[in-house]
Amino acid sequence: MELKDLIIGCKNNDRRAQKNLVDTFAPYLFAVSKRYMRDDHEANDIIQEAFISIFDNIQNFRSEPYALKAWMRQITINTALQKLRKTYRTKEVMPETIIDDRDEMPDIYGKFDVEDIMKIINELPDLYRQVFNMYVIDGYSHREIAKTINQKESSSRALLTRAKKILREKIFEIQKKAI
Amino acid sequence: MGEFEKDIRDMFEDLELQIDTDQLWSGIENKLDKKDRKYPVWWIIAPVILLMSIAVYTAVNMKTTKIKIGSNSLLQQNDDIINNNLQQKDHYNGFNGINLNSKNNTDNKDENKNIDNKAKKHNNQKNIINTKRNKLIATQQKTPKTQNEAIPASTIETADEQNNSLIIANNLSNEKKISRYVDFSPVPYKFNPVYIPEEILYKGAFADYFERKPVKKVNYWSKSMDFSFGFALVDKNLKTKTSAFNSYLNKRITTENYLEAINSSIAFNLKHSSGFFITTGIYFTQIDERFNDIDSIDIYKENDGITKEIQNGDGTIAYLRGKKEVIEHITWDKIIYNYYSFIEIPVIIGYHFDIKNISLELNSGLSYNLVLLNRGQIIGTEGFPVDLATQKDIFKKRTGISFIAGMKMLFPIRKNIFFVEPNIKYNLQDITFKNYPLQQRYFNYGIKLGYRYSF
Repeated sequence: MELKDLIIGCKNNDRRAQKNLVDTFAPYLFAVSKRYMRDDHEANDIIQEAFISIFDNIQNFRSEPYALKAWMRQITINTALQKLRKTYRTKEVMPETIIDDRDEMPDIYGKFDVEDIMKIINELPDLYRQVFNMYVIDGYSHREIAKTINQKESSSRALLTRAKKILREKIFEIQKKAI
Repeated sequence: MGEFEKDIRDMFEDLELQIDTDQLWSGIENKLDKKDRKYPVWWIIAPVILLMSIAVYTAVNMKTTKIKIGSNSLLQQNDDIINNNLQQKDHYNGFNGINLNSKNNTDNKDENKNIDNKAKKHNNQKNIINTKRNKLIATQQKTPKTQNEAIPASTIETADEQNNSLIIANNLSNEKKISRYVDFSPVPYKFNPVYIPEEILYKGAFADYFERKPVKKVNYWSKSMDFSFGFALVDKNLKTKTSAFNSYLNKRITTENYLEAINSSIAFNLKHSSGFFITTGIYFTQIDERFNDIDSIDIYKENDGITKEIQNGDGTIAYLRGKKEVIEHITWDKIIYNYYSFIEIPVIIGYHFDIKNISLELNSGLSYNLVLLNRGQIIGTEGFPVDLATQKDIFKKRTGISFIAGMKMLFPIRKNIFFVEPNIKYNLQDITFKNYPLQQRYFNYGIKLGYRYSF
């Protein structure tokens, strides 16, 4: 079934098309969800909620079929962010001091598997991980991130720098051990 | 963006992780099936109201009336006169055509005794008139001057008229054993009974009766229950506390449209014979609105293209080609149907009066409002859509006091009372929290249709 037909089927509430869409995109969306949620079970819940939201709103999807994947990714990220927001009940005072970011970042190309990197990213504290994911992988601006985490833009920058620093240290550590 | 970030992005861009899609699908399908089966709340409330109305209607119509006839020998004697007097028949039928209240006649023996005594009294009066009439006829018969000088018709008519009144009154006396209260209201007898003093009845003052003019009322209380279902249009009163939030206010106004409300209610009325009444009960209101937003995403892509222009020494321009990062901005409409449901506890006072064939009730009061459920999305203070189910810092759970007012028009249809009520409701207090930058209230104006059950 082509993507266009899948979309039409889902718009008509056709269960076969809906299942087909889940089969096709679940592994991709699970990877997106897994970046935000440390726990597999939580990540699974997120994509389940995301798919429900996708089927609820697919009537409003009027772009070209190629944009579907990005649209679904956006919904999955929004669902994950909403879930994460619930965990930030108390307003933490975030660091606004920008740390010197001119340190050299390790060269990971061809040296690390994606699983290894994901494992390292997942070890970051929640808020650091979220900012890193949003900025580096999902292309959010600091302004957007700041709104999402209810902090100032400078805090978002500071969090990103700290996240990168932690990652760099961990990667160098792994590299040293390997040698 | 540095090489490190770029490498990370490339790694994760199209990453897929293994997942048991069958298990995932079964969970999704389960939720989708539940969603498909989910009906709007008013789909449940409307049939409940309908069923309750049918049940009440059936109960009212199944009620049998037991008539206890008093043991008064004089009245039994008078029955013969009534039966023999064909001239009274029309009046009698006319009289029977009016509703008489068959109210609790069996539980008041003292009242029956009083009625019996009064019946004796007026029978005596009737006997005196009969005697006078007979004497008059006898006198006329004894001393006829000529054939043409028989009893003057007017004299006999006068006597007959007096007699008619007594017989009708006597007949009413029988009916009075069934009830002392007669209904003059266009709304059926159970609703607005009026006491007819016997001196008026016995003097034959039935003109008032037939013209439906209440003669005299006594103090009493009547109870009734109203079941209603309605529709209303809603104006949202949304204001900022400071001008700093004007753009946020505009965003909320432009993304939230088409407000309407449905409501249903069960109310208990306690009405005094003077016309004043007090009402309380439970109202359910659901306000529906459409949240319309534009969602967007930036997609990063790498295309082949011109990456640099170089001006040569001879003035020509050379182009360097290579991979070029482009950002594709995709937008789509997002429409979500929000609903806000409230439970209200009203305390209303009002006045009942009759105009021609309808009864009117003007009422106003206050209601205490509690939020039952808020569902959907609105724009949050940060400029992003927020979920009403999880965002607990915008709308209060107890939304305070509202002013309510209405004009109920009651129509009798057979023995049932139905009503139509144009009504308004306005929140006297904000339904939003104090620390939320906007103040929100609703003004509802709509119409209710309902059924009244009188006890």
